[in-house]
Amino acid sequence: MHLHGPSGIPLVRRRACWLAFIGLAVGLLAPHVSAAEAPHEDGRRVKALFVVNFLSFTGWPPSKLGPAPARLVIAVVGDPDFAALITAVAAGRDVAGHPIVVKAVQAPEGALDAHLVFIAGSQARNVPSILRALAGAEVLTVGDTDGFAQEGVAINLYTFDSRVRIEVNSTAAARAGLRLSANLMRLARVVE
Amino acid sequence: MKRFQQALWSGTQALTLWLALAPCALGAQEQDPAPGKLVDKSLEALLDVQVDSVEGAARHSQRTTEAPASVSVITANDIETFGWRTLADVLKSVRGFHVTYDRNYSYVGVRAFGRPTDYNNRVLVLVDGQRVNDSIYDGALLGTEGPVDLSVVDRIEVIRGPGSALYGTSAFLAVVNVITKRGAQVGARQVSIEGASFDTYRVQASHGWSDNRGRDVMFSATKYDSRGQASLFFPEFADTNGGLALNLDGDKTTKLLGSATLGRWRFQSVFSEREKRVPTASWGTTFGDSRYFTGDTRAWASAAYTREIKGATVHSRAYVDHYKYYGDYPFNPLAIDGSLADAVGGEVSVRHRIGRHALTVGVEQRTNIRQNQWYGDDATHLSIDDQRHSSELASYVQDEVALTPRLTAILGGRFDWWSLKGGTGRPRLGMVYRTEKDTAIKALYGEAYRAPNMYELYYGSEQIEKGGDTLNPEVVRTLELVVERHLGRRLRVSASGYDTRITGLIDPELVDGGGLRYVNNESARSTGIELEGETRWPSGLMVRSSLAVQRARSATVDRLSNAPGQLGTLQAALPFWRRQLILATDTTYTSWRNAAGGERLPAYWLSNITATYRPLKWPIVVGATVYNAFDATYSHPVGLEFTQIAVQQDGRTAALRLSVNF
Repeated sequence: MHLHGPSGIPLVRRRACWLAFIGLAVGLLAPHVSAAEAPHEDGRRVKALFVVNFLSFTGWPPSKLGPAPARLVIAVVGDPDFAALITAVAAGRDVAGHPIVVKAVQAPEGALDAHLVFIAGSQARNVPSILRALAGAEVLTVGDTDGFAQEGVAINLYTFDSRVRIEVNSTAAARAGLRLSANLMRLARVVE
Repeated sequence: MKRFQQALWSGTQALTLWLALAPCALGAQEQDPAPGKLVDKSLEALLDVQVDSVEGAARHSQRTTEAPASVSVITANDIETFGWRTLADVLKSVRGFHVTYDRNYSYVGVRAFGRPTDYNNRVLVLVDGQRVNDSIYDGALLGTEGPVDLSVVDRIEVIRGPGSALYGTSAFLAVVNVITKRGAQVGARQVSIEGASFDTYRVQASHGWSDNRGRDVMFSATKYDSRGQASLFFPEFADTNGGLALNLDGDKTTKLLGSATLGRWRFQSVFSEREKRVPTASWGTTFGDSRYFTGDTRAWASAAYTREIKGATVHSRAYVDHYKYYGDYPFNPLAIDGSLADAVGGEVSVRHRIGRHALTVGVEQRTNIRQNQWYGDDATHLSIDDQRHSSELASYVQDEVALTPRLTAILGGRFDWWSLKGGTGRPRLGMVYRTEKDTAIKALYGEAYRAPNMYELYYGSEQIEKGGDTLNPEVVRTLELVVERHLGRRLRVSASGYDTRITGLIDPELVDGGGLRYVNNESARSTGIELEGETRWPSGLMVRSSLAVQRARSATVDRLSNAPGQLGTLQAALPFWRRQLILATDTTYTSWRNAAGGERLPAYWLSNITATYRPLKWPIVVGATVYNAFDATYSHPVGLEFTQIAVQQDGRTAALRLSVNF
């Protein structure tokens, strides 16, 4: 079997040369372009950071969250690995003097005392019943699955071309008795 | 051997040059921040961070779709909502894809390329990173012959084009990446039963378990048995038994899957066997003979280890792999046909971020211990008894460079080498540009190479001439542009255009005496435009629709066979009654196509309607689907080994399923 291209140069060598040329071109090009550094990170870790950050941009009624040092509780439904990741990311941090506590739960009833409930993708079919169970508990619901915001989850994280973005269902947040900071709303896509 | 050494040296030169340059591209850049620094970033800064693994909960994600290609993702929810039973059903509803069925195997056509009886050798199908395509036909099993039951599937990523250097052999037109569920997603115990038209029964049981310490186990077993159509009419055989094939459409399959995650280790084992009666008297066999069977067995066991070392992700995998095919062909006398392939292999890949680069480097090796094909009257009188073994080696490198905050370049190259066929290196290049409002523009150029498979090369019977040394590999070159955008709050749209050229397309042709021969059939070209839109409403209504306008031709044939000019899809799902009931439809339009001899097959609409009931109080799911709800009459074109030019498909059928979690 012959591997020579039309120009007679062995195909392999031609392709390797081309590859090297592209490499050279990009290598020379890149430093000349002034750009902010854009590091790559693990998507789940970034989402965990978003979840912790949301605590700073949400206002709970005083009956739900007392003054510092009352704890802020994050409950994760349906993904114990993610709960562990949030715990790691929140370690040593607090929000205006409120320490952060994270727990993993199997059912929404275990999350009624939480301030933020993260609903994992594995619970997609239970979203309506979870939201019903949490109604009246003054809880900020957060998810990372397509369609959650439309279904009534207050904040949903979605990914668009390698960047994690925020979409907000402000009606859902309002119904839960919560106030979302204007700084958060400014950065989010508002679905409702 | 010498050619391999030359090629390896060239590849190493290129790789060394590239790796030497990559750090230089940093210039006076800051060092990659330690992971701790990310914690201090504000919300705005977090929005700017580029992430790697994007989809869902899969911690040990396989090669994710970093290629700037057009990707469609189908979720487990979609599979249940639209009543899809096999991978063929799923692909039928993917933009730009069409599926044909010859009452034995299902074949997928991508961008108007669907060559007759090609066993899907131009589409790479992976299950959790394991190559499903076998080592004889390079074929992908898509229908009931597929290796996994859809109920264990978490999602399916369809990646169009040869866009990523991470995928090799058979990643010619598309890559279909099937990712299975974890124990945590399956729930403790689940049993489901299904009954459908033509005496079809399916029983499936699965068990999942997980804990907080990174351990996760999942088992699933499925048994499927269908009597098939009791009576099928083929006018081409009207002089035999009135053209009626009676009770010759039976289909049975057993599938087993087990996977376990233990910390950094992941193990998986899959077994699937399927036997089908064939009613079509293909290959010139006796019509109406109840001895016509084909069977396919596919199995593998794999172990994978993933670890982060100083910011680099190292992924390694080893596997053993088995494929067996047998066929009983009722000529006078009965002939037996078969093939057997056993392999062991492994792969290692390293993914590392250096400043603005995300570099992936990998090596794959496969030893085909056995690649046997046989044909004859019985085990002692074989007219074909071909036994071979071979090995394969591949190496690839892919770099994603953030040239500016908005512009990313993806550059890759892959080198594949086969001990029996030689090797070559191919580049993949792409650019992604993001505008301010949720819009991405992607430009891609990719090349891929398909060496003829063992069947095309070495199988020679009275019916098929051996390809042998006269067959050359096919080369595909694709240029593609994709634009994706969110419009307003609820609508997501995408548009793409492509120009795909294949040189040396390997196609069967008829020879004098009624046999077949595989030849490099000149060049072929496919061009097209695809549009897709998806919208979701607060009520839960979801509508997704697509249109593909495409054309596939060669230098001498203005329109290739099995190349529909337009394909349309429409999927809509609407929940009722506090989302306990979902009504959904999956409708497709296929425009007219030519059969192998140029005869025209008419266009058709196909509509499935599914209702799914999930009561709040009980952990059950009840589903009912009517397939081909409007009883459309339509046919699919078949290969040259058939007397018929096309095979008519089923009319309206129904299925009812119940699954219980406990």
